[in-house]
Amino acid sequence: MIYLQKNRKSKNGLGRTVAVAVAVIALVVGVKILFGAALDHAVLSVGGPIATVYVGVKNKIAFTGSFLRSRSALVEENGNLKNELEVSSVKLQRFDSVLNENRILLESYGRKTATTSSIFGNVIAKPPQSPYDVLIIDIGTENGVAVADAVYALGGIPIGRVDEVTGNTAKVIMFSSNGEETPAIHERTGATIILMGSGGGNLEAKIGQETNIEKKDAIVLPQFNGAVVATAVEVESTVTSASKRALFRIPINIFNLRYVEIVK
Amino acid sequence: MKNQSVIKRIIFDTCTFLLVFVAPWWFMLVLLVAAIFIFPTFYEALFFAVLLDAFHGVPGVSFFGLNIFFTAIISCIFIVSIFLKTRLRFYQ
Repeated sequence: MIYLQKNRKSKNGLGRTVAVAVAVIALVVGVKILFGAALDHAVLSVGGPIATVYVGVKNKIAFTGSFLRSRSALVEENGNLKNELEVSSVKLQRFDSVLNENRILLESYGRKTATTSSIFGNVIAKPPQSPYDVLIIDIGTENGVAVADAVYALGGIPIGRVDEVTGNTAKVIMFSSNGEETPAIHERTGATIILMGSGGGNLEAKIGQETNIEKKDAIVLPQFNGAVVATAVEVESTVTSASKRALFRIPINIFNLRYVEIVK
Repeated sequence: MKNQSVIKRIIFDTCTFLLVFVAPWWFMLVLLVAAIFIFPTFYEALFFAVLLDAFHGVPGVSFFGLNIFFTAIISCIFIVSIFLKTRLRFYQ
């Protein structure tokens, strides 16, 4: 004799649930295939303002919280900042003289220094919130931002390009974004290498054994007026391999980015 | 009682919708997986996964040319959860 268990779900019921779930997933993927770009655009338009409001409130709270910090901590921080400012001032003086020299050299070869306009943007979403080194900024087509515009961190370090733009929001793909390929030049030797983003502000490149790359070597982008885009942190090589793997890092901390510059 | 659970679900959905744009991606992944197991047939998880892909996704990361990283993960967990829910004593 067969006794049916009352509390056991029938197999038909389970099958129906799975079928509905698979149908819903197929529908979702279908919508993604058919309307992927439009959907991304719409979500960025809706999500951008929400993230802007959140960042505004967060900054306000952080500003209010700073009043509650102890006086000794502020004095210590002030001292540290003064020291950093002195070091930076000295560096800036050297940088200005090099920049001037660069301008004179370019002009002597008949090349004028480029005149560009730039727009200042607030970062409203950044890593680690986004998984692929993507920034969302609070300026868009209304402010003159367009797809493929160059994006700089404050200090003139190129960090990426504008990939998608709505009225008041733009999505920036950083050079270190997963799968992002950027042709660059090894400053010391002049060798051309293809930088491949690997996330978290890191990049890597496969280079020939004969290319002499050392730690702290600078990598520059010719199209950004020779600006440094990354520095070498490690070179992995095996005797049996025809190539070696060089690891690079963007010279700024992408997790602390608050503002960026969009250069037209 | 049923009305109450519907209201709870609507509130949770609204909060999750806002969190998609402000919370870290890993937090959203954990939240959606938890919601799949807590709520009965939480189809909204797929919708939120699509939103996450659209908001954070980049063209370089894709499955067969499609930017569906979160959608793929959440879909797999959703299907697995259907079978798990019939096996676990907690749901009897």
